[in-house]
Order: sequence, then C-alpha cells, then structure tokens
Amino acid sequence: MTGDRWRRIADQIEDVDVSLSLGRRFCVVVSDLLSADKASLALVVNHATSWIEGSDDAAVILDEQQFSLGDGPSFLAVDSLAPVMAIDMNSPEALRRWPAFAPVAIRHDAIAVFSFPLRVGEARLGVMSAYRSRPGELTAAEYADGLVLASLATMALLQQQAGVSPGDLAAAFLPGVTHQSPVQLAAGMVSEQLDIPIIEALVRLRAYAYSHEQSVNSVARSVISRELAFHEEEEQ
Amino acid sequence: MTTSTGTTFELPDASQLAAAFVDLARSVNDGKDMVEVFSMLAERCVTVLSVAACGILVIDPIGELEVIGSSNHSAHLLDLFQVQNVEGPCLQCCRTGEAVIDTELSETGPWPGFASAARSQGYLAVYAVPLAARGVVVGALNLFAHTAIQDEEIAVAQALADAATIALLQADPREDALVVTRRLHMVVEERNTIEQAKGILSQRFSIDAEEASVQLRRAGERTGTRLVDVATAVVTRDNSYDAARLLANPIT
Repeated sequence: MTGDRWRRIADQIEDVDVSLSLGRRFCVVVSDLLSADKASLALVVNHATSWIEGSDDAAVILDEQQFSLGDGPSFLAVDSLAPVMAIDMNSPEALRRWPAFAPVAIRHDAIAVFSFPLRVGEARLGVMSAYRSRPGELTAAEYADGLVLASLATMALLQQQAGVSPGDLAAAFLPGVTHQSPVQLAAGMVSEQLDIPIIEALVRLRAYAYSHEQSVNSVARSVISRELAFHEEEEQ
Repeated sequence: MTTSTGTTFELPDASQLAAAFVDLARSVNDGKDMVEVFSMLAERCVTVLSVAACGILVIDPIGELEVIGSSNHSAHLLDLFQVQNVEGPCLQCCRTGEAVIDTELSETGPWPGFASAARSQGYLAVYAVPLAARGVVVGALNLFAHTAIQDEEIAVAQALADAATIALLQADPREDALVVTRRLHMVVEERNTIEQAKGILSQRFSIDAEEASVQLRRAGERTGTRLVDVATAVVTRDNSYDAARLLANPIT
C-alpha cells in the first residue's frame, strides 16, 4: 500500500529519456498518465510565470496566456492552492467562468484543462497542467496520479533550486521526504530566522542537506532541537 | 461490568463521551478545518479513554501515512507515528481494515522496531482502529496506553473513529473516490501549513512546537478565525489578518 503509486510514477519519470530536460520528462509522463494531448510545468512567482516547460509550444502558450490574462485553471490553481478541473471549455459555464481564457483554450484545442498546484503547505512553486482536446473528467485514478505527479514535480523543482544535480532525481523521489511534519516545522523556523518566504526556507534546508550529505529530515531535526540555526550559519 | 479478567471496568463517563461526539459534530458544523477537528478528537480520546496518547493518521494520495491530529506534539510521539510507514499496528490496520491490538510490544513480534520505540516511551499497549467508511479504509486512529485498556474502550474508540471518518469524508468513498482523494490531500496540505506556522512562531517566541500550537489556537479563538487561516496568515506574513497582527507578540 504505502508509496506504491508514488514509486510506480517516480520510476516512470526516471525512465524517461534522460537527455530531455526535467520539465519535458514530467510532461511526457503527465500526458501519458492523464491521457492528455499536452502538458506543462510552470514556476510562478507573485502571480507571474518565471519558467515554463511544455510538451509543445502550444502548451507553453496556454500557460503564458493564463498568467498574463489572470484567468484560467492554471492561474486559479496557484491562487487557490487547490487542483482545478475544467472539463469542457466549449460549455456556457466554462465561458462564464473563464471569460478571458476559454476562447484562447478553444483556439488551441484545449477543451479540458486539469491544473494541479505545485505546493507544500503554504509554499507555492507553480502549477502542473494537462490539456485534452476532448471534453470530460479525469477518473479518480487519474486524479490521484495527478496529485502524485504534482508532488513529485514539487520535490524535483525544490531540489533543482537547491542546486542539486538535475540528473539525481532519486533523492527527490523518496516518498514523504519533504512532506513530513518535522521538515515543515523546521522550514517555518528557518523562514523566521532569515526572514525569507517559506518556499525559500524549504530550498535552503534542501541545499544544506545536500552540501552536508545529510537527509532533509535529519537537518530538520537539528533545526528543531536548535543545534542548527541558519541565521548563525550565515554569520560564520 | 465484569470483564474476562474479573476486574471491574466502568465505561467512560457517559457525559464525557457525549461531549466528545457533540464537540465533533459542532466543530464540523462551525466550519472548523479538519486538522483542528482531528486534533480535538485526539485530545478527547485521551480524556475519555484510559490512554496516554492518541494520533489520527490518514493515507494520503501518495500512499504515505500522515499524522493529521495528535493529542500532544512531542517529537518522540511523532516518530512513533512516522515509523509506522515502515512497520507497526497502523500500517497493518490500514492494510487489513481490522483493528490491531498489541499488548505485548515484543521485540520478536511483527514490528520489533516500532515495539521497542514505543516501550522506550513508556507505552505498554498500542491500538490501531481503522478509519473506514463503506469498506474503504482511509487511515487509522492510533492509541498508546501505559496499561492495557478494555475491549469496551476499544469499541468506544471505534465509534469515535467512525464519527471522525464521516466528518473527514462527507462522501461515499466507493462512489466519490475523487472527492475523498481530494479531501485527504487537502487535509495533509492544511497540516503542512499549520506545521510551517508553528515553526515560525516557535522561532519568533523561542518556544517549542506544542506551545506554538497553543499560540495559533489562541489567536484563532480571539479573532474568530479558522486555525488553517491563522496559519496561512502567519506563514505569508499577511498582517491584514487580526490573528497575524496579534501574533507579533506571545498571547498570554
């Protein structure tokens, strides 16, 4: 039971052609598992995309448009920190709900859009989206796969930002490695110590763990027990 | 009431028990967030049953057991929950859907590492009761006791677990698997946000996680704000919330 879905999907991502970029590897697996025609991964800072990778140019444009229009499932997923499922962009409800984005989606043949926020607690990284040319919902299994993919993408991107070699995904893909309570508690402490956003604190913890060859969990424990303080580290 | 061991056992005080259920129902109706409801439930279990500690674990969409409510926040207790992703009564309970009772905690038993960790914390009996609805197991209620509890108390724990599951899901897991997955995911992320806020406060006021948790709750009570919203305001340093401004200094 424990970690089965996680392990299966992590293995699938690790098996994708390693010559592709990290984002493209995710897009391949997202398209496959969510039966989508296009997929994208976007980093978002203050409601603007800072980096987008898509399975094709149209996927990138669809993401860009949503953030420049301030409308659409990907935009809302980041804003609300919850997955957003738009099952038929041609429907009157969709045109009402996404007045600016629906016409763009239809033009690019994105009839169903499924967006999952890349988040850990209140730490927001961005969004993962899947685009289908046909209307319809995700199955429960596809939805669960989507959540796991979003979690894996979050871990991989945190690791990438922490300066860990992008080839080394295995460490990012240990189940529960950043979800565990102590890591979140420690991230809060580091965020306050350095007066930095929580997302940056999570990256710092990871970077410290990597450079000191420790697990993120053991670094978190040192922070909680106050053996390690990042503001004191910086002064040295 | 006489039990098989011949000792006299009294059911938990009926008024306390009723209060536990009323609390649960009321907090769900009040729109309290799930982490708050489950922390209350875990605390109630410790009041109503003769157990020393209680935790509520759910299986998140990733397949990990995640603690979403606990009667206290000591690191040792959290470790006892965490280790059950590898071995222990909760893992077995979630796999089989059956309650697990371990009053031996033997180092030659089915979960030697867990047993020895539990014993070193002074626990002599551990129970895991399924959180299940219509045959679908979504987690477990985990009880730790200094002495073995009676079967009747386990039945009470099961009733509380059932009430908690209904509060958690508000959906039929066979028909609404997607809704259930979504809720389990959201409750774990809310827990993450609350942990992040606790970290910020424990650093700000030089207090431990348990005291930080009390601070968050007080801020919520004083300002009529849901716990998860207080936590979000703290983490994002959003001073448009009264609760966040209040937490510039310790609340006594």
